[in-house]
Amino acid sequence: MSRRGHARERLALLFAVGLLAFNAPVLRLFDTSASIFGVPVLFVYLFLSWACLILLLAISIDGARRAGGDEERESGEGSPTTPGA
Amino acid sequence: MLDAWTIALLALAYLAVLFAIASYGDRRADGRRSLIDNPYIYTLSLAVYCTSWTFYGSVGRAATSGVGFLPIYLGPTLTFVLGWFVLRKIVRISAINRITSIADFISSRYGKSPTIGGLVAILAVIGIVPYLSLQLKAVSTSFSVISAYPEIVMPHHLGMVPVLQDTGFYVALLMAAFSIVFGTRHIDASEHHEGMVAAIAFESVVKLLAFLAVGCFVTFDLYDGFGDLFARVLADPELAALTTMEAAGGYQSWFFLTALSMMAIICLPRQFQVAVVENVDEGHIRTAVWLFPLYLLLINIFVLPIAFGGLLQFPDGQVDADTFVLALPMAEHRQGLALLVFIGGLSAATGMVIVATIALSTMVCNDLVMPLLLRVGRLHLSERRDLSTLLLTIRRVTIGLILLLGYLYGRQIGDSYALVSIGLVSFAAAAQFAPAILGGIYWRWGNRNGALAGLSAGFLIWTYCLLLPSFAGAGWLPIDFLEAGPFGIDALKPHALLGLEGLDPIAHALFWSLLANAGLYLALSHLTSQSQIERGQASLFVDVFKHPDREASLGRSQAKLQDLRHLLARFVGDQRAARVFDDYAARAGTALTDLSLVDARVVQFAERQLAGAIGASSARILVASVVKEEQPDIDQVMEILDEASQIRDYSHRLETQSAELRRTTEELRAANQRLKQLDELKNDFVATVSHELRTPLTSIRMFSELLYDSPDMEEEQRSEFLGIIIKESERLTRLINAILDLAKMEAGRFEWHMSDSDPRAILDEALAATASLFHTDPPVRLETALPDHLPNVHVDADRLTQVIVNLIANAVKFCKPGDGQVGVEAETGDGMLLVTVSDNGKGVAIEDQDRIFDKFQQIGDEADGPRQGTGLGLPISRQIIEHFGGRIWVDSQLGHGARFTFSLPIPQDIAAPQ
Repeated sequence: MSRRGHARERLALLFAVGLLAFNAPVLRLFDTSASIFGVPVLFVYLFLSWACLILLLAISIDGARRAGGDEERESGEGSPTTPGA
Repeated sequence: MLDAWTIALLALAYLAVLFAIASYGDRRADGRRSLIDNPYIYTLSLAVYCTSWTFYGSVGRAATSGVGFLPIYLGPTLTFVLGWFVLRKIVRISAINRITSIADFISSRYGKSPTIGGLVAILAVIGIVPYLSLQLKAVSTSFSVISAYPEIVMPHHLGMVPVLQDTGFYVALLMAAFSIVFGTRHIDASEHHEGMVAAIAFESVVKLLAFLAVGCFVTFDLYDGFGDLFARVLADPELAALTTMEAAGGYQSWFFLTALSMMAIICLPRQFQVAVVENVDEGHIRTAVWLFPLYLLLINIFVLPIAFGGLLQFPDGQVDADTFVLALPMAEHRQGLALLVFIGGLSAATGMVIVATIALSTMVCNDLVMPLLLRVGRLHLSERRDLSTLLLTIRRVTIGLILLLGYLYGRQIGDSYALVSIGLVSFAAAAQFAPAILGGIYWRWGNRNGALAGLSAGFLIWTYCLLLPSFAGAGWLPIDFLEAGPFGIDALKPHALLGLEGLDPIAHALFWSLLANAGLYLALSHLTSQSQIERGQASLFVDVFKHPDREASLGRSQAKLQDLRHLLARFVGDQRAARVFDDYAARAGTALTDLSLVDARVVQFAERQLAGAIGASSARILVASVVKEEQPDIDQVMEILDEASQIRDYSHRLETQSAELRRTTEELRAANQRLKQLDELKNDFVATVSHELRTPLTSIRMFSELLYDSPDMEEEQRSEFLGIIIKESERLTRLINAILDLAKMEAGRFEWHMSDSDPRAILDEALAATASLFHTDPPVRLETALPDHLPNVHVDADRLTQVIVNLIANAVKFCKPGDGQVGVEAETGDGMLLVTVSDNGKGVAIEDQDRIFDKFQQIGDEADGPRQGTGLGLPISRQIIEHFGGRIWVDSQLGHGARFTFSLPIPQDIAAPQ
């Protein structure tokens, strides 16, 4: 329900989350000498949060695709586009 | 031992495969079955972002700074989160305006300014040269390293080898030849290099697979998975230190690098080329926004394991960390894997070199050389028949020169820096385009002056803070320049400008250059205004989604289709030109014949087609040369002026109308006032008449009743009473006659007996008729001044007599009691007969002088005694005189008597003989 028509806002939110996640002070939280299964926490955090961001991005963009032209017209962003072949 | 020739042949074979793919891609494109119309190919072509820097350099960077290599990939990921909006907007704008390069984009946005286009082209070349040298260095180094297989020998100082024995030189030559063959086979109006894109996508697959292969080898073959590898790292305190943010250069540096790469992913000329210029369907962006970051993630997963594996395997520091990717399989004698790595690295390098040189040569040709050549009249370039050969030659020479520059830069400077450091210098240069691009697509008021100043300032600071220090590092400039500042001025130290310390050189340069760049861009855009064409282009860019089909409507130029077709044919060939216009005609549903005059839409269409081949600013100059020299701006201005004057006319008419209305209203109000007055006068008249009639009637009735009631009244008294009754009856009769006369005159129904009469006779008659009035006690003196002979006038003699009698009677009535004097004069002058009757009474107040000619307006009050007369004498006199064409008036001052004068016109035929 709430996913339709809000792709624009969700992507902006995702961008803000990304900026936060990949910078101090959030990054500082994981800058420790601890490790998970032998891998330093900092490495695990960076790659996992990166992967999560990509996953959420794929889902959001997919939501935008299903919301389709409606959402784009709402936001005044022009003509419907051809989905990737 | 691998023979150098074997390796060289392998490399050539690989390049041949690439070429085959490119040819296939081009053939498919010509057959309109595009190979690259596919989001995955598009995404893979974007991965040209990952160059030797990524393939070899990231590991080198990680070996010294842990996760410090990552911001370069996190930044693009963040940019792509917004890619659906930002990138798609740029792609849409570029598709509509047939943008051929980043220089073209910026120049087109700021009024198709050749100055900006040329500047951006120069800056892009200077900025990207270090990056190219990085690729050449990586290829030649990897070639040297693998040539020594299975020994691991670091290449010697490049500068020590003569040019002709320098692998780097041959690599540069090979790359140049390859790029030329790839990118400049023909000139296309669409400026798509489909074959190249297909080959780049293939290279992206090769380099990813090669890197993943070596990563898996290190992680799972050399070590027992990530846990095992990192456990060993953490066990070594020196290596464990590399797993912290401190090793990565701290948060500040991290932030700046993220921001830098966020801009670079859009602003690097080669990224712009593949992401924007080569884009065939903006829907592909939808997939690319997540798939491209995923590619970045995948190619980076094994960077840390390989780096730490290298550090663990070669603890003595004899092996350059930039070559770990190659050295690790070699050390384990994995010949096949080593060769795959070499090919992967070659892929990464060639991909970048091809796209970057094509992008740069396109902009140098379209935005720098062609506008200059076109402006040099002596060359008569705009009249030459076939220019496509010239265009291709310019581009080929440019590619050669750019790679030569890259080689020289690397030979002199590159060796003193690691791969990543060299690349970052180029990133910082590319970031200078960000304000002009982002401002250009989101801020309508950004203008040419702002962009020009911002770009220039940004690049000057970049040159000073990053490029010159790299020269100093290579010994071209005294090292003092770096450490003490030029001339020993501390504040000018290139790595601590104005004393700003504590930032690494990249962050420092980025801060100052972007501050100046964006600051000047904003400030000048605010302070100076846009030209008409800038405004049009700005709106075309900023509002691209609002008016998807809008044409930039500038002027009403007209041209012969023939001329346009010939112009286009000179750049893209006859067949293509004909096809382009046929397609257009088919789409527009109109038939276009060679001689027909075409309108601005077709001219713009042609200009855009041409822009696809030679860039916006050159196209504009050329099309202007064949378009009929109408002065579109003047026309438009005239039209606007015309409209304005129409509006002014209209408002003027409105004003006039409203003034008329005001006047009419005023007249109406006056008329209404007059009507009201008349109404009041009528009421007064009726009231007065009733009053005047009642007075004699009352006295008649009273005396009649007295006589009736007293039959024995004495005869003497009876006759006195009867005399009064008779007198009052006469008065009543006079009054009624007067009212009737006046009413008739006013209604125009009075019977006039007009004739030429002698006024002297009339005056005499009147004096005779009033002679009895003067016999009072004491008598009223009469003085007359009447000429013997007066000209005849055309009047009703009886009525004129009535007027004079009336005036004399009044004069006698109102003259000074006891010493009365009345004067009667007559004279002629100005074709008029003037008759004056004067008295020496108390006169008429000025405010009453008009009123006394109104009905029943007897002046004086009841206290002066009973009213005498009817109060209609003067009004009737006025009616009579005015009927004769004359005028009657009074001159008087209170206490000095009154002079009543009337004038009568003397008919011309009578006056003449006089």
